[in-house]
Amino acid sequence: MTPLLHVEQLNKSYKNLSAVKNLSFSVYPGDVFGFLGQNGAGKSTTLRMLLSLIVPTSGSIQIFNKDLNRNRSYILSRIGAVIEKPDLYKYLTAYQNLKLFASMSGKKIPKSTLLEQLDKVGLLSRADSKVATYSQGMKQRLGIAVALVHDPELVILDEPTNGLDPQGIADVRNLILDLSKQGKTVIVSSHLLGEIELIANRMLVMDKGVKLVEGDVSTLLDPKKLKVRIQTQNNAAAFSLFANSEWKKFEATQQENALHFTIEKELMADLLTFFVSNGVGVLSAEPLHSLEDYFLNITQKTNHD
Amino acid sequence: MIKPTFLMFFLLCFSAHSVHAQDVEVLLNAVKKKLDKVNSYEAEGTMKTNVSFLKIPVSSIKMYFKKPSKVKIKTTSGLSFLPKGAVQFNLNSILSDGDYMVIDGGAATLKSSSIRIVKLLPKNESSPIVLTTLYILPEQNIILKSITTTKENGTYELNMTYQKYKEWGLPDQIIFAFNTKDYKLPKGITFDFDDGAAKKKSKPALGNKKAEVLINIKNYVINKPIAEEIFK
Amino acid sequence: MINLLGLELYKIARRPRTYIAFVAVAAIVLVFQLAFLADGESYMSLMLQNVKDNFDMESSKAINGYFMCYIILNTLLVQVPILVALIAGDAISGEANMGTLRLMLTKPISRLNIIAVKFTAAFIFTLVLLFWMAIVALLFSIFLFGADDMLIFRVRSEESFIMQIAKDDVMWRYFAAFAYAAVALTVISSLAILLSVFSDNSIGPIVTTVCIVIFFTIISNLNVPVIDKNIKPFLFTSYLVGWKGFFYINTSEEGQPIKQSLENWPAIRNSLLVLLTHIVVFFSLAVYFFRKKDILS
Repeated sequence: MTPLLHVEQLNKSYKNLSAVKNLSFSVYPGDVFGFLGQNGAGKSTTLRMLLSLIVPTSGSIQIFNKDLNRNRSYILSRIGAVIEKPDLYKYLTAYQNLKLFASMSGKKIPKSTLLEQLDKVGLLSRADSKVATYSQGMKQRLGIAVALVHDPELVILDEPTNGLDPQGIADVRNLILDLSKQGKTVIVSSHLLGEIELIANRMLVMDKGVKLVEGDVSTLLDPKKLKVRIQTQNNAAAFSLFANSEWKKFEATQQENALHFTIEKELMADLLTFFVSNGVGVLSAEPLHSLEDYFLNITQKTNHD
Repeated sequence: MIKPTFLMFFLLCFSAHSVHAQDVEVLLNAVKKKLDKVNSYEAEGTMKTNVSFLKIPVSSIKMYFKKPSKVKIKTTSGLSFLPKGAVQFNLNSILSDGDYMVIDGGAATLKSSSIRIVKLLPKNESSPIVLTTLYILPEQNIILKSITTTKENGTYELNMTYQKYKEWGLPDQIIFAFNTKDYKLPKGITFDFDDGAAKKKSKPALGNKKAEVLINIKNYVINKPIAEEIFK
Repeated sequence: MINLLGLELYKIARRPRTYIAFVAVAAIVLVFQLAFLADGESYMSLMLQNVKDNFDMESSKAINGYFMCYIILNTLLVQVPILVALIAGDAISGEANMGTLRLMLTKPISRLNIIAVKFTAAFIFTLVLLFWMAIVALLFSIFLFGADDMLIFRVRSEESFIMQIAKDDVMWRYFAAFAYAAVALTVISSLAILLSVFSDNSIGPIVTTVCIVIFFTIISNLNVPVIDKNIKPFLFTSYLVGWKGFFYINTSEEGQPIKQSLENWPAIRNSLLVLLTHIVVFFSLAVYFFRKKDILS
């Protein structure tokens, strides 16, 4: 398959700092591509280079089979992006902002589409309020509306869940999955491995400007070592139930408000069924991957090889 | 507005008690008599001001006179710089009455005409005028030129040319020359655009402190009543 | 491009700061007009000084709308660069500060276009501001004080003099002067836009522009011969007052003003060329640096 985006030997250096070093990777049509790394790893710099916000020191970027340098307008008209926090014109209303940026996208977008987009992100009722009066979450949703209003083929989201409350995080997650279902290609960066794991099919891990690994999420993350955090109606009861069953061969710890298990990924559903069938209601279950652990893991692997 | 210098003196103290030069007094009286025929006049004209610090256009004026000494110059349009001493050229007022000594200055030639010079010396010590010299054309009884030296304001000079209204003793052209003070604006106050050009080559021949006002007069309407308001 | 310009003007129009300039201009003009209505005669007496000893002059006629506008522009055109810098200095940096520059640049618009649009918008703002000045300083002054011949008090080298321009010879000079001022102010706005490329907050470029203008203006007006000869010609502020050249009427040999004439058109033309060159240079530099700029805000 031809990649939708291909980066080759990308470098960006500032006076005495190399922000991105010899980075090469590919994103394929329909991918939800996770860009993973700690703060300062070079994720943002890379994403900004993909959007021509930052001029690379060297290397090439091909998007939609075209060179970004020479076909900037063509490429950008097919991309929607939210970089860091979505900053908008505070003295304009949500509708005015959306209209303004929509008209910059090079497409004629009817009013009905604009209102529909606002409705999708749940801001229709506040369409005529000035952005200055918006909460961080509302701004984020408006930013996403701005990024999607011209129906782009590629969506780039830089740390889209930063500063959001749990509900907001869940909303963004659902939105990305939704985009993926619509067949759009999404590149999303995060410093939370768990976040990427839930939504991405492929991922790239960066550290100090260098690519550590790139590949399918399912292959990269060892399924046997899936850490999961489960909240139940009665954590103590659930824990003793677990400890007295054949599940006890798996590692488990009781935390303050939840239970942490380390099990094989495909057994997740069985474990949840086990609790429910034994009368312990499950409130939530989420993978718990610490990026630090993961890095340690990869580095150790690299050292062994 | 009339500058109350030597004019007033002439108005108030003319007297014909001159000891010397009987014939000069006769001449002066003849001039006076001629001017006396004019009770009032109204005239049109143009006024050209030639002063180094005034770059102003030639203005159309109207002149009014009423006996004994009322003179008014008005511009018909626009702004005008009217020379204050200019009302002096109303010769009627100079000669109407007075208290001065008449001295015969002898004969001379002016503009290829034989003329008589008559000097008037004020008797009053407090008079602002030191001396007035008149250049009179005897056969026509008209004054061609007058020079008045004042104590404080320098010298005022009148040169007159007569044509159409010679019988009335009214000039067609008057050149009024006098001294001015230096005009100086503090530099920097106006943030001027310095275009780097050299000073204008055609500097007025008169120099910085000399002023010359040239008045051409036509269409005198003589002895037609003139309303008092005009002179206010 | 037109669409983008419309958006830019829309943004300028929606910003309360924009109207400060208009209110400020109206306020300054009004203060002048009230002051002259109350006591214009003493100003005129001061300017006429000892001319009054030898000449009668109707001061009240000399204080007319044309004269008022000249006096107001004299003062105002020193301050208006600040108002222009207030808008133009914010052009790029304000967007960077708000974070909208980032968003805007992810749209398919070239950076050259963005600078060009910002520049054009600032130019239109300048034109509208000057138009506003023409209304309040010229038309409203004429309404208040009437129209008559205009007196220009001028110092050239060591010489002071008064020039009189006939009232039917004034209006075209104001048109020309306002057009010149538009060019002069565009130098300021292109400088402010250039500086705003380097900054991520609007205060920096605005203050820097204003400082440069004030510093250069002070040097331009020091009247020290060494500076006048060697430095002044290289400061663009020396050419900002060139609009006055349109009121320097040519005179005949005998000192009478010649209608429809200019004393030194080549000097005005050269000043215009100097200003236009500045605009081209500032604009090109702004484009060059903006295209190279990494958007990190």
